[in-house]
Amino acid sequence: MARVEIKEISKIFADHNAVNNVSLTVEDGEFLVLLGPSGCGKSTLLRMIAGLELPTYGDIFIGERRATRLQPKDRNIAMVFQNYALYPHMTVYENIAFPLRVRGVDKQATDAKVQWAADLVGLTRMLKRKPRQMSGGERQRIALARSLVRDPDVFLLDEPLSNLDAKLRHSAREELRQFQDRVGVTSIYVTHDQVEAMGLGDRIVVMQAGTVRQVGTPEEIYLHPADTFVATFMGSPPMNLVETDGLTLGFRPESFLPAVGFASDIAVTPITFNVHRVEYLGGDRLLYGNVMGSLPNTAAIARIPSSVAYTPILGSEAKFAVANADLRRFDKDTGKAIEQHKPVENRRAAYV
Amino acid sequence: MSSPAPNNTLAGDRVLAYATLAPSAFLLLLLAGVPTITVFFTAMQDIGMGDLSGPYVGLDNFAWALSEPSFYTALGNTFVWVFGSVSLEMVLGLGLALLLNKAFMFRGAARAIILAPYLVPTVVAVLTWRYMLHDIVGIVNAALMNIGIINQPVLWLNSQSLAMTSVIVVGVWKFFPFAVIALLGILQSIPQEQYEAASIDGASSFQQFWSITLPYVMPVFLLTTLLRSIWTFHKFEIIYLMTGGGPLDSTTTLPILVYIKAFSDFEFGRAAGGRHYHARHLVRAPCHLLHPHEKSGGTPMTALTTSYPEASRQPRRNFGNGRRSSSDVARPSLPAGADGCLRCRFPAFLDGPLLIQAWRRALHGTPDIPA
Repeated sequence: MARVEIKEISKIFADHNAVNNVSLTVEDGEFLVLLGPSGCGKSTLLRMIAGLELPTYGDIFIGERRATRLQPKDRNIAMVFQNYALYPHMTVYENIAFPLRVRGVDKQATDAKVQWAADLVGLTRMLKRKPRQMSGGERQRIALARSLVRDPDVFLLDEPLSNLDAKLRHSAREELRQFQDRVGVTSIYVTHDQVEAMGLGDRIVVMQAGTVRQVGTPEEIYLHPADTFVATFMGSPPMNLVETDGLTLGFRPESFLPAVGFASDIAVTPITFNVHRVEYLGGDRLLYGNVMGSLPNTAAIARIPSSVAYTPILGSEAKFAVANADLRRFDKDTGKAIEQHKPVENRRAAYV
Repeated sequence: MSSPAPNNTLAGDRVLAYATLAPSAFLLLLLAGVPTITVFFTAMQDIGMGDLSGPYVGLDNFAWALSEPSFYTALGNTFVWVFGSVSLEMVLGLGLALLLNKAFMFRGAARAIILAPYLVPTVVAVLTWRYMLHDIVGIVNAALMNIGIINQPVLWLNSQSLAMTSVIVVGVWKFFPFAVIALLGILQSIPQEQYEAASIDGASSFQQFWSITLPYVMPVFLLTTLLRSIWTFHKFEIIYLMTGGGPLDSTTTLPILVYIKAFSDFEFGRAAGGRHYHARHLVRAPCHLLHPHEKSGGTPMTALTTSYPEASRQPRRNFGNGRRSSSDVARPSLPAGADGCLRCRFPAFLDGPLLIQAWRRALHGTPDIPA
């Protein structure tokens, strides 16, 4: 267990800055998610923490130790790779035991430790098999068990769920979170999937083009994005952005609702919405259209729960509104959020 | 109502499948199947070159091979040749493949250069090597003497003790790129993550090589070893062009033995002494023409041939070629190796004696070979 501190770290490859002056602190036992589109530098950052890449500038501390120039094996970290990097010619047992074997741990201690790790991830009955005979989810658990046997200070996970199909990914995410709660080890998790990030992370670091755009809890990041990049990267469909004179207005599709439904004591901003197309998703309907009226004509999406009785009329202007508390303002030029973060409110109660 | 047997192919698909397979199957049968079968029948007949047919003799030919000392010599030579070549090729190939798998400047160029020996035609390579290994004018001896490692020329190809080593060295030089290509291919397919995971797990470079590289490479390594062994086992031209199987029979491997048997003895094997005499000269005449000085012991051509006790020979039961056959005791008057050109063993069965005589007259003005 350890705290990880990253100080003003940069990685410059021949042709571009992969990571640009990033500082971060990961608290002991925290589950931190590095989130961003591909090429944003999140994997490079993780690999620098692992010691697989050396930073061009900056320092990394693991626990009290300065680890910037340490060999990967001397950092007492464990890493789970996207493809798990299991050794295909070894059995599950040999895979899990490998980190102990190469460190010269004696057979009895190895055996006890492997049994313990295999039990923790539920692989006790499959120790004699080879990885290729196992499913994707089982392979992921082998990789977890292998990284666990050494009692690492830090767990590094590089998109470990991206090779699983959608259904399996959901249950594996659940397992992974439970597993981390049980082990309680500091974890840094890289993903480009915002749903994964929201579901797993104690805190999320949103990265873009080698820089950190925002650090915060899932709620903070979703409800109070620090800039328009985070606003559109988080959420599916993304936040609607409407450029007006002087500033950019932002509102989430699920906050963009027919005006009639709002309780009378709620301060709202009315918006005229012209619906072109309706997508029925079961629990929700997505209404594609354009905001108009006092606002510049801009494409927008509204997300209306199926439980709300509303029948959109295609091609005609309808009265919609956004609660003022859900309206975000961004600087038109820099894209930065203008308001201070507000406490999270219970917005749903205000809508019929 | 009876349910038909399950059949998931359309009728037309099946016809198309057989139709597309047919040409390959036919060629395979014709080119591989027929010779494989006929060679068994050939082996059980007493066949000469004249009429290409002969009486059925059962397993006599096999019994002959097993009772023939030169067969065992050739078998031993073949083992040395195959084992020596393949083991060196594979070790060298793995080493270089590992080296070429690392990133360094000019790696692309280095990879291309490594392939060069494999691309050079065997004849060109062998002729070049024979020049280089020549005891008098060869660059190898010259270089070694200049450095001072040796103080007199080494008979790389003309001594019984060194000829096989020299041929193996040339063979390894020619064919190790195959191992490099095959092993480099598999090395590049090893996911980098494996090494990264192992380095985080605490494995040293050697442990990574032992636990990841070797197990990954092993199937291809074994397959390449097998292929190279098969190809080296029946490799013919490189040995034949280097040494012709000599000196004496020191580099006569099984394919060379078979070749000699088939094309220098068999061909005229059943002929009487006079015809046999021609056969021997057909093989060697161009060598005498081109390299008259190479005959050791200074025996003139005519003396050599006339002193030959043809009548006592059993053409089908030895190699008819004193230079190669240890069982040939019917030539006590000549030192071993005296009647062959030590430098060049030109396969001469394509030439006729009249042409040879014409050459000799034109080149040297020497008397004709007695016909």
